Amino acid sequence: MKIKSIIVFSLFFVFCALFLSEAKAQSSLKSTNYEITLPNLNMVSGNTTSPGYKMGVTGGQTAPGLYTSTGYKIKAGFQYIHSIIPFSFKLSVIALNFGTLNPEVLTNNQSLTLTVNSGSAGGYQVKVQENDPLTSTALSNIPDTTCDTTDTCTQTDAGTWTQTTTYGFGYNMAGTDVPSEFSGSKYKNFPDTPAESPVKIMGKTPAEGHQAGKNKTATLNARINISNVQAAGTYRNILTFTAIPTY
Amino acid sequence: MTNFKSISNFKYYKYYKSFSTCLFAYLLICLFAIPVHAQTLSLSIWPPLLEVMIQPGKSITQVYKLTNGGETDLVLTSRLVPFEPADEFGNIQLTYKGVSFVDWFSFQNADLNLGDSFVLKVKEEQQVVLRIKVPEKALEDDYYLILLFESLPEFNINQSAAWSKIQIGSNLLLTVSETGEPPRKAEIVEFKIKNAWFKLSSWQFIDSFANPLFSLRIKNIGRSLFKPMGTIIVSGWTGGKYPLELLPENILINSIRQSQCFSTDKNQPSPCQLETNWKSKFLLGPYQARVSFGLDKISEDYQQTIHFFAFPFSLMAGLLLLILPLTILLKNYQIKQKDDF
Repeated sequence: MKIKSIIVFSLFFVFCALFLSEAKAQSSLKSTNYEITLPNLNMVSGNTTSPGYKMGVTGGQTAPGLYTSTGYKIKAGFQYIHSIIPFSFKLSVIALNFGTLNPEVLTNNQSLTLTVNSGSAGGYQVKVQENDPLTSTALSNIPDTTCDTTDTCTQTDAGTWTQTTTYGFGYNMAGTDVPSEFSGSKYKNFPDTPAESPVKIMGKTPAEGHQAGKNKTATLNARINISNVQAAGTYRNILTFTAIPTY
Repeated sequence: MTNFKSISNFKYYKYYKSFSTCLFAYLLICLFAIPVHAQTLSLSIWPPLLEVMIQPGKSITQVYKLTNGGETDLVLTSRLVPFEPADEFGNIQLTYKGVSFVDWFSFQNADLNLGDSFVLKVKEEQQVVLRIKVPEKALEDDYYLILLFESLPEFNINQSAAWSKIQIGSNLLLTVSETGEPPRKAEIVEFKIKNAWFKLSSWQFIDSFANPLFSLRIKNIGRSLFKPMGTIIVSGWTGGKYPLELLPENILINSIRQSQCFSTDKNQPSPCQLETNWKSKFLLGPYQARVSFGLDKISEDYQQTIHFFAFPFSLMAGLLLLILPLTILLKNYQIKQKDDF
């Protein structure tokens, strides 16, 4: 009888150990696209980073990232966004290297791909600005293009660039979330800092139909055309690309 | 003969030696060469938005995670830049104005100060702890800034090129308030149907086949930012009610924002548009749309109603275009027949 009890007890123990699921505190909710860490379910949760108050970063509940304590209210992230994809921005090349330029041709082109993951942002915009026109060490410069005389362009208005006698440095954009004024392969020139404000080259807001997602890509096609009398030299400038989420 | 043979062997040996050397060099290159490709620049940041309401004299900290996802180590710097709304869609315009309240912000990292340059290696993450300390005598107001991280460009002096510099930012909306209930006030600047055919008095007329698209513009005329929380409810003479949930987006002081809705089906922001179809929600007759919302809370503190009439204008126009030529043809035929008799 005693042996029988021991056997039954042992079997019961083995069964419990093998088949009963382990009880855990839930620290994350996962699906294919999203992970909500530190679910609070009407409780305080998150990272305490200093004594005296509580705060943290979450995404994906009725009031994400909302933590209150005496004298503070903090919300991190967008209330209606359920994604944990960080807001990220990538440029495909460190420089648009034009090499040796041929004069009076429209083939001195170089491209750069911009990739944005806007998963956690309500919307976003990418802006561009140059520090100066392309300038050589001898201080000659290749001016910003103003496009063809029949359809001129500025840093804010796009125009056509089909003439080999149209000189300068300019760009157009193609791809996802690109402003519509670039359609028809129209060009603009880069605004110069600090007098001219950076201009939007990519981005959408919810009002414009932004959908949170990964790998939104657009291509910047830059072009230089020089005259036969352009001074020889090594020309360079700096293009600043700024990715900003909406508020 | 022997001599000839030895010379010939010597030639073959020379070729064999050259071939072996080339093959060895090729294999060496294939095996050990570092792949050459364009260097990418990539940065990511979390959180993209921080909203803080704080009492004067208090301080808080917030951890920002910054990751270098590119193929080159980056030398980065940081700065806080004030911004203002650029449009009605939530885009921002950096102002670069020197403001005194930038002094309230610092990094709490042991080895990094705000504005210092630091190296972020490939695929590495840097946690930056931003400390906000609001002085006792700070004005109760809203302060809008962006925390910008930017790379320092690398140059090759002998190369003609436009060099890239990457910047990424996270918005920071700071409200200084003693009570936690700053004076908030809104104004409905516009509430209308965007795709109405025409308007007569206070009635807008829409085609039955079109999905009514609502335009709601809200202005912040108070002294602190808010999020409108509420609904647009479309109700008709049949008694059916179709709700559209407003997207709780921030509206900053003295700015207008074009409000959007939130589609619970798609779990995404969406235009405030009634999805109608033939089976369930074909619109015909008089309807009203009522927007109601509260500021940072669901209530009906603000409300406005518009009336519209749905009629199958396009169907009628189509039928008219079809009937009119047929009538003319029929009349002509009858006249011709009479003439024949």
